[in-house]
Amino acid sequence: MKSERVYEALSGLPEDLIEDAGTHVFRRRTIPWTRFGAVAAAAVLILGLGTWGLTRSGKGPVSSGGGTGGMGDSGGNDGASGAYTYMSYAGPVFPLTALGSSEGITAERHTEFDFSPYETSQGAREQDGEETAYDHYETETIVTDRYLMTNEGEADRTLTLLYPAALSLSKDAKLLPALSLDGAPVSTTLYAGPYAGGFVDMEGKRDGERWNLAGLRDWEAYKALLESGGYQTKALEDAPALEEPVTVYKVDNYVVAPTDAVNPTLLMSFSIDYARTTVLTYGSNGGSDDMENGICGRDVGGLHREWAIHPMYVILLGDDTTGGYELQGYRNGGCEPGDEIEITATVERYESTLGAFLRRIVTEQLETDNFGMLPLEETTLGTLISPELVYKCVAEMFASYSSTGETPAERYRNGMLEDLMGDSFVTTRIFYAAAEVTIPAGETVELAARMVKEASFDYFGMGTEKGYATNGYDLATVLGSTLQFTAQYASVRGLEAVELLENSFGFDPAAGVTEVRLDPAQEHYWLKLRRAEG
Amino acid sequence: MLYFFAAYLVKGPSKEMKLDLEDEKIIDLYFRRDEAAIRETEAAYGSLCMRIALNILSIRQDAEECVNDTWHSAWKRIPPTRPVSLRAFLGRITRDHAVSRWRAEHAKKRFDGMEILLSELDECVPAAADPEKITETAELTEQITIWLRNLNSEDRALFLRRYWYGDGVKELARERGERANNVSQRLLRLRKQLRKTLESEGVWIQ
Repeated sequence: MKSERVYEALSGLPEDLIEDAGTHVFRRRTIPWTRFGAVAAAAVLILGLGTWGLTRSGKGPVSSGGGTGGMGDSGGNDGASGAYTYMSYAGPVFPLTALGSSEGITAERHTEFDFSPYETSQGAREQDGEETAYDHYETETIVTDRYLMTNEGEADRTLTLLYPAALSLSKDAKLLPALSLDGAPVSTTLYAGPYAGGFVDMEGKRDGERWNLAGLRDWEAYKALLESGGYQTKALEDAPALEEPVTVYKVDNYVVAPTDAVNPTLLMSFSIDYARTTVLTYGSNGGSDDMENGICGRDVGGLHREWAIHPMYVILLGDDTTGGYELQGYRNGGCEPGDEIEITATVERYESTLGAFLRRIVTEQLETDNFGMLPLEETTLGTLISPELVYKCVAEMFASYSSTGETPAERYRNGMLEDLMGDSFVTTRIFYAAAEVTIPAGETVELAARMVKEASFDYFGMGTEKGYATNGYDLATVLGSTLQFTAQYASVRGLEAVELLENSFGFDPAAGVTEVRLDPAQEHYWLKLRRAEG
Repeated sequence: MLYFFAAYLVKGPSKEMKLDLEDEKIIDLYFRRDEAAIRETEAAYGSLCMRIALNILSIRQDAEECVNDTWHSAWKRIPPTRPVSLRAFLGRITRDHAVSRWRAEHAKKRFDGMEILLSELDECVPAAADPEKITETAELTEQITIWLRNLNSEDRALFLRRYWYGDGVKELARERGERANNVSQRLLRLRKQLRKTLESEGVWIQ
């Protein structure tokens, strides 16, 4: 997929770049000072292997069983143990749940997967001033998840219903469930839980240093996340307060004296006690830390590109600088002695709290182009929900994984807030669409959730003869739900453009089985498909 | 001192290349259709190609087959091709063979070198995708080339050694005489800078 395109693009790089990189002799460095504990300057030889490989026993697909026609019963396969593990897992369709007790309320669930988005349509794009046509299709399904809810008591009941979906702020808003009651849109409040995944080291191991994001890879991981109910509780909580006082230095209004420097860079240097101050930045490109002498530098470059100039914020958590600051311009981001040039700027100092500062830049990020760091489309989920909810996602990430967080991740150790904020945007979490619904005594209402669901996929196609990409969708019957289900059904439609492959539901379109009754005792169902040939 | 990464963008000319004398002799053998060309190639670049293949496939037998395929491909393509850089020419062939093999067999493996590389490169992908403005691979290559040429030689070599050659972080850290942490952090900053650059240039990847 997209990273595959980048990898392929690297294949076409000029030979001189490849040659130089292959014959380059790296400058050997001494081990830098550490912030805590003993200081060492000796070079350390790291014994390591040039290659590595982690194998994981992949679980193969299981053939489905099916009925003989019309509606069939789901096959007797154990979907949970037979499901395929994808490299990019979109998460299952989750069941509706209710806050508090739903005793006396029963639910009958009907879930429909509509694969009509796989049909090819004609699109047009502008290229080199000309409009060219292209074939377009989506690897998405439209899911309609309907619940016939019956109040079997003698008094009217008002429930707060929650419909979960695994999404990120960077996704298109069409993926968010839209709730309706008896066919009419119902007012919804959106909640979001914390980042649902974890981190791995550079070898893909979870027990090492935490450098790379590692999303939830399969159904079992979501089950572990949600079955206790603790995650849902966190999703409904307010954002962390982050009331720690901070001193903020805003560097702006740069004036670069005429120069032939290709990358005018402004360095802000200041003295701190590293044991008492944590340095955070927003809008900085780099810097240096001399922990032994307590001298910190943070720089902002690219000042020759007017369209990309933005303020640099240096945020001191803890004590303020001990001796003011200095500004110095340099020819490039190396900030080396001898490369000084004249650059001036204004510096505004103010005191705030960490939470207030993060709220401010989250709001700025959503209202502007975020200094070009996160261009947001109009339909991006993060632009359509409340800034407070976006702030909550950022604040939770900070409170958990920043250098001062509960479980710091090495990934954020340099204190560059845009790294953490960017990750808050793209990482998967569970969103909950909440609606209050009143069910009169003795009556039945229909609560429906409708959404577009992305496919789970492998980066390259499955090893089929023709190498077509295989996509997957799956469903959780009862995970995280407090509803009492009387029955659950699943159906598929829009099959003209797809070929349904193995599935644990029991679908067999060739035999006319496109609707099945599910077993709520079976927690997980899955299906695989690919675009039909021709 | 602990140095952070800093990026800047300058468009510059390609570097003019001159073929190594030893490589010239090897290529002449190909043009004379002397089978000693394969032996000489293997002696000069066997370990490089094996390294590239192993970084992607992780299984020695598979990697050996890829390297053998590389010699076969080189024999078929030289002549008429006269590579400017035999290292890059052979490395690219090996890389392509290894990726093709990995595509066919990836379902049996998880968390191997190739998947980790792809996972890291995911962070280079611009934030939003617009199907109306899809960037062709050639243009993407051009933008990445410009970005690479504007890095200092250390960062450029680090990025390519990791994502073109597929070398591991520990190995790179050992060569640089620094902790794997620092290499990881530097690579992280490089990936994010590449993404920022691609976004600012209006690159859209489908």
